[in-house]
Amino acid sequence: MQTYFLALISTAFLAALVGLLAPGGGLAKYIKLLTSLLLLCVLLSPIQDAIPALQAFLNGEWELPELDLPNEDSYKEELNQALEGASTLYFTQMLTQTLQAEFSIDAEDLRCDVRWSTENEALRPTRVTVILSGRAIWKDPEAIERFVKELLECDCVCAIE
Amino acid sequence: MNLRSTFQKILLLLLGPVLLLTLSLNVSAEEESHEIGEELPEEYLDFLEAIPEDIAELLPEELFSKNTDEVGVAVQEMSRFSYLLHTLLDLIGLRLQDCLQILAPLCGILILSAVCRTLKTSFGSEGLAKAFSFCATLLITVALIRWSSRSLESVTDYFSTLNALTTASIPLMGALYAMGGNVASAVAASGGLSLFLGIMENLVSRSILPFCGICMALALVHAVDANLRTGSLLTTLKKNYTTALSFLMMLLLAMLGAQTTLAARSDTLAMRSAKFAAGTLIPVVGGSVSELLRTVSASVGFLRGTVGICGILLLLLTLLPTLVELLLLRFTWQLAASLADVLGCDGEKKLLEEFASLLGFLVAAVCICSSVFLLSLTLLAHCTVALG
Repeated sequence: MQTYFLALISTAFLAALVGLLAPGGGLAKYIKLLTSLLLLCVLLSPIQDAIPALQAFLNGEWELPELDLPNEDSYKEELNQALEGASTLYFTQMLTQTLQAEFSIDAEDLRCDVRWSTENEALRPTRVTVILSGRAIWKDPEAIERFVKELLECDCVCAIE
Repeated sequence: MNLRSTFQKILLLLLGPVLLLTLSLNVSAEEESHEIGEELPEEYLDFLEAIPEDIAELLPEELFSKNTDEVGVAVQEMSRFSYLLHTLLDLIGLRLQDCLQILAPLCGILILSAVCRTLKTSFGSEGLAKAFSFCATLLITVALIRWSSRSLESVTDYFSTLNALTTASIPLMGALYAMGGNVASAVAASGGLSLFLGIMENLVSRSILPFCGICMALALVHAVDANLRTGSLLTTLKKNYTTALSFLMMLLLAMLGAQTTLAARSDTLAMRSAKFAAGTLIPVVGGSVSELLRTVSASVGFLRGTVGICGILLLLLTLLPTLVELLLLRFTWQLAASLADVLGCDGEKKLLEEFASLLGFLVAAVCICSSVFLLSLTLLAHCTVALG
């Protein structure tokens, strides 16, 4: 392409120079005609390469580059992971609030950690750890564990922070 | 006594481990979990890395955080009129200096050409006068090509940045759409943007420079020899290229808008029967699935809005320097053309007007190509969350 531009610009300047140096009279007209035709030939020279490419394009013989795009299944997987995370976090928050209400514990004195496992494509809690701190350490841990076991039918242990 | 102390030692040895076993705390490492929408996806930082360094220096530091609230504060700051105006004035100030440095020698050459033209009668030879005019045109041409090549470089740099931003935004948008249940919208947006990327890389980026070169060459031919009238050919080529580009982008805009909107509607319908992994257990502990859906929907909506607006502002900040440079340079050529007209230098005036027109064409091409990416970000910010 650079060669083409240089050729075009050089031809234009040469044509102008020849026009300046051309002798007057009838010959000048013919010289200008020849230089114009020469310039036109240089201008249209890329067409011989462009026509086959244009024909191929019109015939549909072109391809867009393939990008490694995720398909619908991978987006569904992302959605499932996001929903899993959101629902398990929400579940933990609700369990914490339930225990706080049931045993009259302040919000900053109780935390829960729930371990999950997958059974038949559904998440089930397998173990709940109730972490007590502050004044909540004086609460009966066995009562808390019993309550959680009856509610969720899974193991529960209390820990003191 | 010895028996008693021995018995005590044995008791301690037996009770010690028992006490340790019963009083030991169950310690386990707890993973820090974040609510959905609290933290931005990993792909967001990859998207920010595609921004040029000189633009990144102008951005607030909080924008590079992963925390949604901090990024939201940074986006609010960036969307203030004072911030945008301050950034724009900084950019104009820098470019204005360059344009004045270009205008001064250009005016000198035009004045010299005008003086030679005025004194041609004293040369006693028409050919000598024409030769001086030819040399003046040659000088202006060399100067125009030299300065215009810098603006062409900035246009190609902008297209490279646009391609990099689009490439980085595809996984980010996909993740944000999927997070809110808009799976079909994620597929539509990814497909549309990848098609746009393919067209930009293979068609626009490869054709814009050669086309500008052809236009410059034709303008030069016309300026050098007035008998070689290439003006109408030049105008026809520019108009048709711009029309073809506009038509192509219009098709992309229509396709992206229609597909994303329709997909969003179908996603809403599909998500009505969405089941959560722990959904059946949530009412057991006292919460409700609908409450969870509302929380997730609001969080994802905020996340998408923040990232969408952030992307639009980043695109504007990336586009502004290129636009300002092209418009100021175009203004410089137009000023010089007006001076050439005043001084009676017709050939130089036509050349300067053609180059100014070419820069106007570049401004149009840059804006047209940015519109598709802008629409995709707007659709992201306003797409209805399917879960809600």
